[in-house]
Amino acid sequence: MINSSCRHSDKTQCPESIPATEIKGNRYPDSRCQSESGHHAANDTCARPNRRSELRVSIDNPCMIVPVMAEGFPDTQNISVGFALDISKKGIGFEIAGDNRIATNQVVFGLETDDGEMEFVSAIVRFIESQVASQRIGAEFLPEVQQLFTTANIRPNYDCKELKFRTGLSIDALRAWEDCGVLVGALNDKILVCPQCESLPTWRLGCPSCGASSTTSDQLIHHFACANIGHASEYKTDGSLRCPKCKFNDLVVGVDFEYLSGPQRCHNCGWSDSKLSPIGNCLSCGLRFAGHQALEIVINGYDVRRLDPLVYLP
Amino acid sequence: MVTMLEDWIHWFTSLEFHQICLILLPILLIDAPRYAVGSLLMCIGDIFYDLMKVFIRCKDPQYDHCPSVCIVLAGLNEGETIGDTMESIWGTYPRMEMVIVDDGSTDGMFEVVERFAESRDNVICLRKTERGGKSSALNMALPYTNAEILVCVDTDSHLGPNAIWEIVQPFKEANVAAVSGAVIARNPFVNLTTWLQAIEYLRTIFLGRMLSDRLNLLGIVSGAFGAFRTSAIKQVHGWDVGPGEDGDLVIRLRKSGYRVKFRPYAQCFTNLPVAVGQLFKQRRRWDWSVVTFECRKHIDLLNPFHSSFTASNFFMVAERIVFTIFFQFAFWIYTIWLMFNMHQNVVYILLLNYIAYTVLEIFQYTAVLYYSLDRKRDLKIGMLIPLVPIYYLFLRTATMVAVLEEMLTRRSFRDNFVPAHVRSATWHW
Repeated sequence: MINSSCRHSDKTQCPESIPATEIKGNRYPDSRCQSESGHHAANDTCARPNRRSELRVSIDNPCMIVPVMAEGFPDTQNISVGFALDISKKGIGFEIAGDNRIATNQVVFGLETDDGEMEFVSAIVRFIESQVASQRIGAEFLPEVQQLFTTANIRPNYDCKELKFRTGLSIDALRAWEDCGVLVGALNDKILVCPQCESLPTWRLGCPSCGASSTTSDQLIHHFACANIGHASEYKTDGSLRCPKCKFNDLVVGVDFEYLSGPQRCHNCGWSDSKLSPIGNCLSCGLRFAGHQALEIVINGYDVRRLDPLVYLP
Repeated sequence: MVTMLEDWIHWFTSLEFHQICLILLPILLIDAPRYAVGSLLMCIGDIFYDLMKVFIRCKDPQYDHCPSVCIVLAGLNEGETIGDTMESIWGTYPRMEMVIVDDGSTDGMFEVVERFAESRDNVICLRKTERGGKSSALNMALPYTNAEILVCVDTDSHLGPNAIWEIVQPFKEANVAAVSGAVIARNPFVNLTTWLQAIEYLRTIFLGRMLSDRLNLLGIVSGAFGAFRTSAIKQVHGWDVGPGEDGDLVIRLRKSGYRVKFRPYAQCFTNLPVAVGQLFKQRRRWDWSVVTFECRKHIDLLNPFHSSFTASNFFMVAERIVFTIFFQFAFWIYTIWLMFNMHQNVVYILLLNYIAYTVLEIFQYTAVLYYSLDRKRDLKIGMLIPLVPIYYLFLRTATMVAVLEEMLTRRSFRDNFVPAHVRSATWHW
């Protein structure tokens, strides 16, 4: 059915300027094309979208429509609810109560499934038919790459240039979608980052005093007979081991003595202790810091239940 | 009872002076000269000195020596107690570091120590995967510290107020290598065994070591709480294999020309054995070392031609050998002789000895109370003094058994205080 009230002045710019074909299943009654983007001008010559070339199935599930604003934020003031009328592989028709216009052309459409959960998909509103106390709207699903909630947009990815984890959509936008009930936040990771620039550092075990990694560990020898514990170097004489305390010669490991790990020593500052500490070195700003000074940040990812129209088609 | 007492008085008054001396020979030869007379003279001297201070307004000594200190806690399966011990020590002295050595514990002690160390600098946790004995655990701390003074504390003990400050003061003198703290009962009123030990600790450790210190005869620093000059310890390569390693180290330090001091108000509160069996075993272990170290390993101290011979070292070793070994034999031989030769008056003789011992104890305990920091508590502890002579008979028995088994069988080298692989490798003196 042709919508004679489409206000596009230029057919090539109108998203609905694709030749109409015979539809299967329900047909809308006579209606007017009322694109809500506001940039459309009334134009009787505006053509029908091609969504009706697809097989359509009648459904009556509850649905919600969230307009998408600039930079991917939801328009939480204008969320509409209604019922789906039919669905095809490429689009969906639904009816919402009242005559409030949908604020933007791009929407996130949510359809309630039989188990009571909502599934979402990004779509473009193609036409609107005003009824007495409602509006019937046809929307076309966006292709996968243009979907708002792609993996790149909602899951954190490592940015090799900035040495940080990023999401395609801003964190504020993702939180707003979470508040709308569209996205579900999930802890992805907790990571230690540079306290100065929040970039990912490299880690090494080093001197907790000065942060240097040039450390060595002394090896100790415990001579059982006299309980002496000293550096292995003190025991070595002419190829054999001799206890510096009791002067016993030719010590045999396991029988006369055992090796013990000794103190760690820093060549840079002379520090000595039993254990090294994790030391971070930021590759972005060059800051060297102790492990306990690192900033712990939470990396959140988001999940969405995606609407798959093929589920509804025979 | 009254008749018996009258008979005893009649018997006693009938004795001539030399007979009384003969009956009281052990007291006159052993106990009175070793502790009582000296303690009382020391106490009287101090009373006089304190009175003089009132008149001439002497200033009390201040803590003016503050060397760097490393607290060493070495323990095995002390997970339940070491946390409180560390907390009681940490922060009581400004220049302090702490090295805790876990000698192969299996009760989570190391995890307790690591949690403590997490939030504090200068706390080093060391873990030995295989038990090596207390000596090696203490020696393990030596490569990890550069502090001037090493303070060893038992892992189940608590320190009294200013204990660290007190114990480091004698190190002002450059030739002092070791200072013993006073070990006080932490659990005196648990039962009769701990109560009597508490009296003994006050008398022999608190008071007795004050006297030994002034006579420069102190030959032991308690393992529970003692301080050592690190350079001196490293010079003698630390502790030797025990049991009795504390006394052995002190003798070796004295041999090297150092002095050993006692600080009575550097106090450490430690848990005493609760069961009689535990106490008997502990005392045997202590007394084995007299034979092992004084009679065998360090017998050269009695040789006037030896390079390390000094008069004070001679008297120190001689005192230990004479009083702990020779007079113990003499006591039992004399007691048996007395029973056979004066068997018709055995009860009277025992009663006379009991009264003499009790009076002697009261005198000495009066001196303890004069020096005490907590007179109320110590007075309560002293209420059992009438039982002390009987308790000392028990201790004499333990000493006798220990000396005999060490002399005849070298029992200390079969004791599980030291792990088997170390026992088999060490020198059997």
